[in-house]
Amino acid sequence: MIRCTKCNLPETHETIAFDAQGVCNICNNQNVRDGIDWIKQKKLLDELVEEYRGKYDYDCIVPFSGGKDSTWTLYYLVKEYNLKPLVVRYDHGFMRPNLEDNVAKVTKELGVDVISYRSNWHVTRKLMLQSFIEKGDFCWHCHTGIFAYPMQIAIEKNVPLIFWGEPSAEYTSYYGYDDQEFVDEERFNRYTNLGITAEDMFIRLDGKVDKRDLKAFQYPALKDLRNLGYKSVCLGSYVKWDVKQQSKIIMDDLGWQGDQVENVPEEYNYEKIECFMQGVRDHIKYVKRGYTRPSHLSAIDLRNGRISMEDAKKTIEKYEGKRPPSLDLFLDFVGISEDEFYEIASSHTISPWQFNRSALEDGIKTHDFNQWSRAGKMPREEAESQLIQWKEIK
Amino acid sequence: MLKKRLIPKLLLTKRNIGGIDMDILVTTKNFESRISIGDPLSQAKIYEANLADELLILAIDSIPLDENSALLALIDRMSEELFMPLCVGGGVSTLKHFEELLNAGADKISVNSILLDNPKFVKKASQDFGSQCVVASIDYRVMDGKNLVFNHREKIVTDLDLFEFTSLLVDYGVGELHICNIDKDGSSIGIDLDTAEAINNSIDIPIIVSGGIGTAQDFVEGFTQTDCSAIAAGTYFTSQDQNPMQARSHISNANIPIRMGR
Amino acid sequence: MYKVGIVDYKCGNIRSLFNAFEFIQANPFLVSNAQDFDKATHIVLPGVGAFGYCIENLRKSTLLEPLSEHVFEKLKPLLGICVGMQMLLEQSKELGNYDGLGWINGSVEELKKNKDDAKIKVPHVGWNSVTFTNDSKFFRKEQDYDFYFDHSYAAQNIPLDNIAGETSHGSRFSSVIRKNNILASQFHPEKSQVNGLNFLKDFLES
Repeated sequence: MIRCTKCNLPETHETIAFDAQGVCNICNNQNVRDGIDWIKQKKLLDELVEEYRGKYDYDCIVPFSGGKDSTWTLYYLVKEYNLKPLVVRYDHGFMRPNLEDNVAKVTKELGVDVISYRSNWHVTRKLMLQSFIEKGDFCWHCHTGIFAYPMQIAIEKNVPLIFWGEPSAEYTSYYGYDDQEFVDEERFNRYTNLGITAEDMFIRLDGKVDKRDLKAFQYPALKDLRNLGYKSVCLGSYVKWDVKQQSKIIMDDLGWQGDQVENVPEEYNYEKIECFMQGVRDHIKYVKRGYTRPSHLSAIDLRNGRISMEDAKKTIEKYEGKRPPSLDLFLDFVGISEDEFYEIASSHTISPWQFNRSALEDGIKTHDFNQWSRAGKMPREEAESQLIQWKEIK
Repeated sequence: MLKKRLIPKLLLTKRNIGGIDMDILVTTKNFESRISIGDPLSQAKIYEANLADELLILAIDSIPLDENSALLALIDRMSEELFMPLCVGGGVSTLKHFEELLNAGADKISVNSILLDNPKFVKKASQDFGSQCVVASIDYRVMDGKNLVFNHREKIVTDLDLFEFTSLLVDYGVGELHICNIDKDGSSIGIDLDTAEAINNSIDIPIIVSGGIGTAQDFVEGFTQTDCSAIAAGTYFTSQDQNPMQARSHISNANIPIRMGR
Repeated sequence: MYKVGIVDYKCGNIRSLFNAFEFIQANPFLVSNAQDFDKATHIVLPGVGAFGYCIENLRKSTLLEPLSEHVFEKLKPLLGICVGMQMLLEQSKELGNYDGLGWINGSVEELKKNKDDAKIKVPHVGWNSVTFTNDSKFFRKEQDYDFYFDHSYAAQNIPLDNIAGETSHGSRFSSVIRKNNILASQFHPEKSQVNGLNFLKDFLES
């Protein structure tokens, strides 16, 4: 596989394109980021904040997971501007104990109102299986819930200003830094929802769920958002993003704690600590595209000149491509066998990568593995009714 | 420089979903089996957000346009929210149909069955509306080494030679040609490169090829070997972790001129 | 507050244009008679189909005279699109010899298929790059931007001062022209996604 000569990401990474020197567009985009006048951006942010302050029941909405990015976003808005935010959380149902501790600590420390919503598990596991089958990604409910639900709350509570965290240009080239990245329906449709909206999902599930069950995943109509006068932006468009520095600040000031993550080097204990399905998610990426979390994390470090290519390659060699223990839970949740899992995941392989299951080693359990709830196994007949259609296509 | 085009194919039909009669999109395999994909407007908006170059929207139940109010209504709604080229077809057989669809917001009209009844129809359509909005969609099957035109409505293979037929239509003033090999449709095994290349070389109007895209590399091969102007894909974008933006990067990496968003 | 009047002489894809201006909140409306022009802050002349058919329709309608008045005396910004652009020129050779309005010098000629280069197919359909001659709010002259084209005839012999954008397909032709308060594009801004909408926004601010 061709890899970027600077950050080592392979050609199978979403939206990657290489220039004549073999450097990828995400690396090259960093030059744009480095050329941004952050002083000017900060002034724009000051103006933006004042425009909305005190005029509504809340100064802004902060969609929140409790991970490092949303925590830092919340921290910054409260500490820097003394805003009164409404924290809105879509609870995907797989929150880890340490993460729940973090959320309690952080929200108490900062003093904020919190709304949290978790969807019906019977519906959720159906959505997980369907999106895994169709798109090789079981997190549809989470992607859409996280991005659509806060917009619905914005309309419901009449709070037009919504602050997200980092701009997507940090990771992919769906948008560049010089594009005005509004977190809007276009972005939702461009890559957030995997090419499937709530209306589409109802059709793909052949009406097997109640239409009402999918409401939380529906992006509100543009006219309703325009009536609200909405402004949905990334804090990272105004303030330079630096995950290492930001993680340190929230650890020191708020007592936010990192955590061990399946198949990830210890030193990256600030990334993706929220969800106990993360290991499976990362593993599927490896099956489809031949790289995963360690490549992604070392790419960021390579781009910022923090590690050498040699060290990056060593990390990848040591941690990538291992079977996550959480796979056992996933199989129960969606009612499929391990063979079916690999068959489905492999059917979404991105060329030229080819997955070799026989070379797979077992990964290490995290310290809280036994605390993860295994309740709610999908009955096999239910899974089968969804698998039938997939088997027909393949 | 003129870029190659990626065109998602949207096939429109009626289906009962959870007790509700709906107009939905499906993908097909060999023009037969159908898999439900989603809501037409929703999918169209997703493709636009993904910078698809154009949309090919075809109603596939062989209903005359007059009886298919759903198609006109859909194009109407699409032109409210989408600002991208729409090529629309399905039961188009009169000049009035052309006018109605163009007024609803379509840019180009695809004709299929009428070509077999009365190929000269495209001559009048091109004269009245301009050849740039007349697209001849031809389905074919390769049998005993011959490329034969397929009658979609009757579901039979005719004895019309694809090359002769397309040549005739070009003489009549058609602006663009869309060819689809039925055996490749929904198969994900790659497009019919040889026929596409030969057709592209034999006529001097742009051609759109569809049927068989299974990997991003298929697009690359398609453009490289056949030099067709556009490739349309249905199954490819809907049933796996792919979207036009990802496909486009892959194509660009192969140094094929493709729109990258600016 | 913009009010964009779209000239409805029964020869253009009015709907999409209307919707595009609506999307960018420019308060579009249809101009169907002389009085309608009065409330317009900006005027748009669409055009799809054959040149001869369109120019005849425009001349037959009661709209040409008031259009001329509002453009040349009231100096309202005018945007011509596709055949709407072509009609502004002196003449067209599409399916005959037709006189245009002559508001900008130049003629409309067939895009030649390049015999040596089989790649040049006509109609010119798809996304092609436009190089603008001047910077604007949304576009820089050092960069190329893609817009959607669908035509077989194009503007040639445009005076240098009036060329605002160029595109290549076989030969180089003027894809955007400008003279005083008149702006026109061969491509369809209402079908060119973000670039197209930005082009319309530029027009609004002119």
